Amino acid sequence: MLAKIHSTHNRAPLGGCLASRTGVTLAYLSVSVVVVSDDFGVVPSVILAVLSPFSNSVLAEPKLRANFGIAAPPNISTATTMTTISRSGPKISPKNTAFSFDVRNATVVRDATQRYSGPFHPPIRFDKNSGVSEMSKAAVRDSLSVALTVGAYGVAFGAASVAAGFSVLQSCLFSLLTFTGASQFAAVGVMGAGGAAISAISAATLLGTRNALYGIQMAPLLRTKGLRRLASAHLTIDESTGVALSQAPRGTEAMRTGFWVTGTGVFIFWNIFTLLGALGAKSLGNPASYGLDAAVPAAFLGLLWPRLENSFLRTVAAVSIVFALVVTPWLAAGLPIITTVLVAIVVGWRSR
Amino acid sequence: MTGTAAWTVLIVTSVLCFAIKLVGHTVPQRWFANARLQRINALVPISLLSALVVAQGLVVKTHVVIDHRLAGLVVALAALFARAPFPVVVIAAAVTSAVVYHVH
Repeated sequence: MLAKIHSTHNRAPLGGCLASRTGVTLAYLSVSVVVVSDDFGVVPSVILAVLSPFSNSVLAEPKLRANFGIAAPPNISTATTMTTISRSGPKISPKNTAFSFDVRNATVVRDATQRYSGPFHPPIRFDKNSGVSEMSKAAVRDSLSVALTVGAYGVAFGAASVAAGFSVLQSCLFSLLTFTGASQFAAVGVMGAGGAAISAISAATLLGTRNALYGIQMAPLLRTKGLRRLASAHLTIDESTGVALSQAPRGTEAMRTGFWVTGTGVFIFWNIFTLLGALGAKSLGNPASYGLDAAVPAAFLGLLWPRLENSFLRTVAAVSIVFALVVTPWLAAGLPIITTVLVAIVVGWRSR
Repeated sequence: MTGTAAWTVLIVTSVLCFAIKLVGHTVPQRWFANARLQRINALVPISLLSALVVAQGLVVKTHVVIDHRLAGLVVALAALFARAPFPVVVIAAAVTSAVVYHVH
């Protein structure tokens, strides 16, 4: 028969990976019947099995007969659903198991969360039977509220981009392809100020370097490969990293959920609102007459503000502002922005 | 701004920003363990954003100019001190600036 091992972690917030380490899995597992595998190797069996309740005589394979449990819809999410296909009988053959338990030692042999592959479906469960989903649900709630709020800033970017002289299409492509707010603002800001392309690119790229540090923090948590790694890299921004880290008390599964849901959510909302902002600015005309030329620096101020956590950082900001003002008359348009990075380098090199 | 410049900025920025993100997910953690590098990296956004506020709010081409935008910035600053959310800050600045622009 086909067997599904559905883990319900009533107390343990983490996925099977932690359970395997602690070696107390069986305490959290209730083994129920039936199904499911994301393992392509067993897909034909699953299809046969799905057919079998309705043709439970001649067409069904003998070992699949009378197995009504198979009619349950396959659970595609694999966050906590571990799967196996094994023969009934006294012996479990290791060859046939996509996933198996080492019963004697009561440990999970393989972690179902690592089986997942495919770039755009984060491993989240919403069903009520799992303790993990409670944690994940809380993480999803946090993520969506952040995603919607932050995504709405896209209006400001779309408008700023159009005001700087980019087309609606280019503005939308910025949000789709660059997808890191401060860098996008910087690129269009420098171009809007009449700067050269190289200044815009370097300012945006320098602002994007912090995403590399975020990636370093997120990589061991997400452990993505191939296409999924490309997706996780693209979604690595302030917000997805921030929400993921903030979910630490709820466990690694909630952290992963936080990353994927926030990243995907911000991506969707950010792009929708960019389009709205760009179209809005396009239809409004002269940026100065409705205050867009002040909205852009105000947006930068709004991005800067939360970073000024202590008096040292506030001093760095003040020095940078003075420095930018002083060098402005002496340099070509756009260059003062990138030159001000010198302040960060000098201070960072010498401080402490 | 020419069309070519716009497309160049769009494409090169996107490629570089994605490459940076991918590097973070790929390279060994110890490569970025250098304390000095981390300090500078934490300060770069602060310097750049400060300079962008100046360039966008107080500068026209290569001249420091005080105009309606400064009124918007002052209101934005007040809103931030009052812990207003981001959209409120931006809208307040825009409205103030637009009013000053039309009155002036």
